[in-house]
Amino acid sequence: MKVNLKKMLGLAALGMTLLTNTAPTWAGYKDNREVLREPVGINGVSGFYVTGSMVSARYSTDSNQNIGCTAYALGTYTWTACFATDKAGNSLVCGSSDPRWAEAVQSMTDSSFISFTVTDNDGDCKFVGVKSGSDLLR
Amino acid sequence: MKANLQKLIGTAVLGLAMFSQSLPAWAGQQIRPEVAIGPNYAYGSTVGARYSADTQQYIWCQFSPHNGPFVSCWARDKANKFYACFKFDASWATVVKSITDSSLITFGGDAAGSCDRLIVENHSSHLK
Amino acid sequence: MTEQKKGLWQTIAMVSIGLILGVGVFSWMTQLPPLPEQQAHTDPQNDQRLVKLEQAVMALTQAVQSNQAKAAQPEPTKVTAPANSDVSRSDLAQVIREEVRQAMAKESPEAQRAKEEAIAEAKILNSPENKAAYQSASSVVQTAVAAKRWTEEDKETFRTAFGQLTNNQRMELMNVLAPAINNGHVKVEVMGPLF
Repeated sequence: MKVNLKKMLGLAALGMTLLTNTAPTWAGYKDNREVLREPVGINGVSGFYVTGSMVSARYSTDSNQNIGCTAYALGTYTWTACFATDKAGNSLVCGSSDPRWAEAVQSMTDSSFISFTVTDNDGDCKFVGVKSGSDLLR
Repeated sequence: MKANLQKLIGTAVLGLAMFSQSLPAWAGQQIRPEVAIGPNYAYGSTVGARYSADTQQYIWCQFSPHNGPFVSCWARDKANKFYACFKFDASWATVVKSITDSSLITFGGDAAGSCDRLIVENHSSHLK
Repeated sequence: MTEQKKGLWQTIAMVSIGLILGVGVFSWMTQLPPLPEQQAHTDPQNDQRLVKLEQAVMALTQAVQSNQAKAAQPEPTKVTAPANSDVSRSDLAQVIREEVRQAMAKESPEAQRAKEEAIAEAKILNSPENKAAYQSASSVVQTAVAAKRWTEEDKETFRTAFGQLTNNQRMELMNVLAPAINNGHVKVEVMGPLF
């Protein structure tokens, strides 16, 4: 009886661990790109662009990376701001009252891939892009 | 002898399986505040509210294209304090439509319930 | 044989229990994210009213130029000028006036929004709340740039004042704060969004 119980527990534990090892058989393409901040030239002016997926930033192994955008409705104004920090702790921020960027934030989901661009000499968002797709799901 | 060998193999496989399994290291930034109600304002993350220990708190906004468009935001904290405000404004509809499953929502206005600000943060630190 | 079979069935039963437990534990540990939705992104449209207006202006210009050319030429005999040229000039002028009136009445969405923003800005600008907010926000930005750090307290102060500013004031402050942060002169000490 005791031997059977031991065998039972051992096999149950083995079954559990084998399953948790092999269960993720989600074979579709996955984009794991973390937050990346790179210099760029925009119409002859130097600046930075940043790209990254929300999921990769959230589930990264470091505690620096983050990326996202905020939509503001303030009285009769709307405003959009985007923020990002890469794993080295370098940050990028831009803001704009341009309604195109508000539309871009409108299309965001939990698993969006965000990119935005800003020049060195001001804080105006020159570009905000939001991508959603199966390769970004967790 | 056979039983011991079986036990040995089973334990060895179990040990191997457990050590080769890399546990998910969810070390990224996490900001998921629960709902807080102040004088004529409220804020909270949808994840923080939904996965809180109590069954009281919520925070949400609603958009209707009729008569406006019309936007309303509502919140209740775990102590059952409540705040809601309303706005008829097309530009506010854009911001309401930005809300996702993991947004951090802040709204406020006057005591009569007319909103003067709505902020929707979609940020990796707010994900579950 | 019976014992072997019994042992075999026991093994199968135990592995099945283990598998079921594993599925349960794994499902509890992980959750699937929601399905993403794709939303369309609309493009701006051309204003065809401006095209019509342009055509009317060109026609009037041509009519004026042809009348000037006629006036420069010597007239061999006195002939009563035909009524058509006067009628067509005044018709054209009326068309242009009408087109301009309609174009101004039906502005593009961008122009309407710019007008609304300008009206809203005029209402807010220099009100006591706006002055106090601008003072607070610009002070916190200047302090952060001087101290080379952006803290949680700065974030809260800026966020509070932000709502009472005009868009132009926000952009003015962003144009100071953002380059300082983006070029690494100001260290960010906040988690998540900066304001």
